[in-house]
Amino acid sequence: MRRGRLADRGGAVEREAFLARLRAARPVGLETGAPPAATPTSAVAPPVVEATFTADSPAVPKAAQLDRAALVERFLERLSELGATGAVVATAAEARHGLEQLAGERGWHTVASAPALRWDGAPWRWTDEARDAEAGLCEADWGVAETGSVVVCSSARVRRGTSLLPPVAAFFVPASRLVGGLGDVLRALAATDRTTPRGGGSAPAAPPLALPSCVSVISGPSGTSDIAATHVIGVHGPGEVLVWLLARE
Amino acid sequence: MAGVSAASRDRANAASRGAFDARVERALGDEALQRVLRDGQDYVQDLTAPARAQPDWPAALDEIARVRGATLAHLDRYVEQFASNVESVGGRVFFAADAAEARRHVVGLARERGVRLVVKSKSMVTEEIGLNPALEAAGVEVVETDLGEYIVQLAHERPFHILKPAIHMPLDRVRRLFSAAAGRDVGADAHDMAAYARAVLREKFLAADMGITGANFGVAATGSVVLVTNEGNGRMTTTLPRTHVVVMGVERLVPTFADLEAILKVLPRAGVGLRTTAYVTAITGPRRAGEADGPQELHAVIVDNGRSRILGGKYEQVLSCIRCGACLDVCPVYRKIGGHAYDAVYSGPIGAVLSPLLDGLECHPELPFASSLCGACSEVCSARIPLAEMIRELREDAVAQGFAEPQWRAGLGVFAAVAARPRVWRALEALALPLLRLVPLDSARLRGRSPLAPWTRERDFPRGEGRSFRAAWDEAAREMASDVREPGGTASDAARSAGGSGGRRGA
Repeated sequence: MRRGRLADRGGAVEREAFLARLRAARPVGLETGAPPAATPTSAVAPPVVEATFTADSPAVPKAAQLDRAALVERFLERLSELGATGAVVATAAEARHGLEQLAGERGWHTVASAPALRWDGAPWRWTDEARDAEAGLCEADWGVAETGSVVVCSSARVRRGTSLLPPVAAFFVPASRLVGGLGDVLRALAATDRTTPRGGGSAPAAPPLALPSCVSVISGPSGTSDIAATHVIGVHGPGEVLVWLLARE
Repeated sequence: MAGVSAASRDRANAASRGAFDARVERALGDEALQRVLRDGQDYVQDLTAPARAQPDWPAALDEIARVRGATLAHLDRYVEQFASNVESVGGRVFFAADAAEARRHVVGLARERGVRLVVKSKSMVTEEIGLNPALEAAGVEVVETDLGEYIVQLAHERPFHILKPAIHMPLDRVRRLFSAAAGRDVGADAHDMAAYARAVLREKFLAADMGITGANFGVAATGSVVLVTNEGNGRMTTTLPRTHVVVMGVERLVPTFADLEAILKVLPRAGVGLRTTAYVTAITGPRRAGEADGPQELHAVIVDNGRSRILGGKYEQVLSCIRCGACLDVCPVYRKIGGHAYDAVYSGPIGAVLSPLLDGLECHPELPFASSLCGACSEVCSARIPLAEMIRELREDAVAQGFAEPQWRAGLGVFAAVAARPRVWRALEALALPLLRLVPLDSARLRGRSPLAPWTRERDFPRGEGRSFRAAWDEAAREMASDVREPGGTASDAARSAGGSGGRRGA
C-alpha cells in the first residue's frame, strides 16, 4: 500500500495537495485560515419562517410565536399526521401508567431504557440492551411542534439503540422542552460551536464536545416506499412511536 | 483529449451515441417502464405541489442558494475547518483526490481491521467511486441496507433515481428477487417483502464489522455529519458496527447547523412532499468515553474526484446541489428514457450536467443533448442551479471540443457557408421549395428508411407550402413602402407590427 503509513499519520501530503486544488479555483491573494465567521445566517434572524410552509395563508402565525397551548396542539396534530401516537399528561406518573397499561395489553416482557428513567414496580424487566426489548423508552431532549419530532441525544446514559432497535419507541417529552420548529433545535446545536474559540491561522479549534456524539431527530415511525412505491411502515427503525408530553414535569 | 485523433474521437463518439440510442430505444419500447415513469412523475408532482405553492417557498430556495454559494466561495477553508473539527472529536480524515484513492483507502481500512461484512446506508458518492466492487474484490461482503439499494444490489443494477433507486421495479420483479435470495416465496405483498428484508438486514446490521454511509451534509463548525433517512438504516449503520466510514463529496459542507434550516425544510418536501423524513441524524465523532453504543472509530473520506475542477468555473453552481431529486421528477426526457439510459451514476438533468463534468465529456458526449432545454429543471431546482442553461452551455463545450456528431458539424458548416452568401441561398431556396412541396402530407413514408427517421417517428416533416419567407417578405416590404407614402401613418404602424423592426428595404 503506497500510502498506508502516510495516511495513518494524517496524510499531510494528500491534505495539502487536496486543499491546494481547492484554493487554485479562487483568484490569488485569498486569505487562509479560519473561514469567515460562519455565514451571516447564524448571526441574523432566520430568514425562513417556521410554520407558513404548511399553512394555507401567509397570515398564519409562525410556530415560534404560537403560545404554549397552540404549540402543544400543533405538536399532537403533527404526531398523528406522522402515524405516531401522542398524549398530554400532567405528570410522569401518568405517563408511566399509560405505558404500563399498554404493556399489559401487548404482553411486553422487556423494556429498554436509561437507568435514570426506570421506576419500581413496572410489569416488565428493564434492560440496557435494546436489541431484544419489545419497547425502548427515552426522555426527549426536545419536542418539535412544527414537525411532530422528538430529539434524542446520545450520552453515557442514553444509548443510540434504545430509540432504534425495538419495534416500539416510547418517549417522554417535558413540555418545557417543546420548541416551534427544527430551526430552533439547529440554532441550539449551532450555539454549541459559538463557545469554540476561533482565531486567526489554521490552529485546530477546541473540540466542540458540548455537542453529543449523536443527535437523532425522530419524526414518527420508520417507513419506506422503495418497494413498488407502496408505503410500508416500520422498516429498520421502530414501526410504532408513542409520545407522552408531560405538562408538569 | 490531446493526442487523440479526430477520427478516433469521432468513432468513439459515434459508438457512445449508438449505445445511448440503443438504451433509449430499450426504455421507450418497455411499456411497463413507460407506465412506471409516467405514474411516478405524476405522483411526485401531486405530492410536492402543495409545498411548492406555499408563499415562502421561493425565499427558502433563495436561502439554500445563498448558503451553498457562500460555502463554495470559501470551500477550501470550510474543508479545513471541518477536517480539524472531525479530528478534534476523535475522528480521522482522509483526503482522496480521485475515486481510486478513495477506494484504496476504504479497502485499506477494511483490510487492516479484518472486516468481513460491511453494511452500507444509501450513498451516491460510493456509487460514483465504485466502492462496492473494490471491497468485494478484497473479499469483503457488502450489503446495501436502504431497501431500494438492496433491491438494486440483488438485481445487479445501478440506482435508477438518485433518491428512489428501485422506483422502476415492478412488484413481481422485487418478489422474484427476494424469493430467489430467500430460497422461498416471500409473498406478493409489499409489506411481507419489507418484513423479509427487515429480518435479513437486521442480522447483517448486528453482524457487520464496518458501516459505510455517505453524508447528506457535513457541518464545518462542528465536524458533524448529517444523515437524512426514512428507514432507519442510516441510524443502524452508525449505531451497531464498530467502525463508521463516511464517504463524502468535498462540496457537501455547510458552515454551521443553523445553515441547515432551509435545506432540511426543503429537501424532504421537494423530494417526496413530506414535511420531514423519519430521521435526521447528526453524528459528531465516534462514541465518547462511557458510551455503550455507536462506532468506536469514525473515518471521514473527503472525495474530490473532479469537483475542484468544477469549482471556480462557469459550472461551479452545480456543486450547490442538495440531491433532492426534483429535477428528475419534472424532466420530460427522464420521464421517457428513465435513469438507466443515462448510463451514469447521476441521471436526469443534474446528471446531464454533473456526469460529463465529473467523468469528462468524452465519457458522456451525448448527455448534454439528452434534454429538451424546456427549463423545468431550472425552475424546480431547490438550490436554484440553472441546470437547463448549463446543459446548453455544455453543448457548446461539446461542439467546441469536437464531440458533436460529424453530420451535425458538416451540416452546420454547409449552412454557415450558404447563409453567408445571399445569392447561393436564393438559388438553393428556389430549388428547395418545389422539392419540399413533394413531402407527403402524412410523412409516414419518410419513416424507417430515411436518415430523418428518428426525428420523423414522433413528428411530421414540415411540408413546403405557399411561398418562401423571403418572397413573402419582399412583397410585404413593397406594400409597406407604398403605404408610408400615403398620409395618416396608421398603415405604417400596422406594417411595423407585422414586420418586426419595420421594412428595412422599404421607403
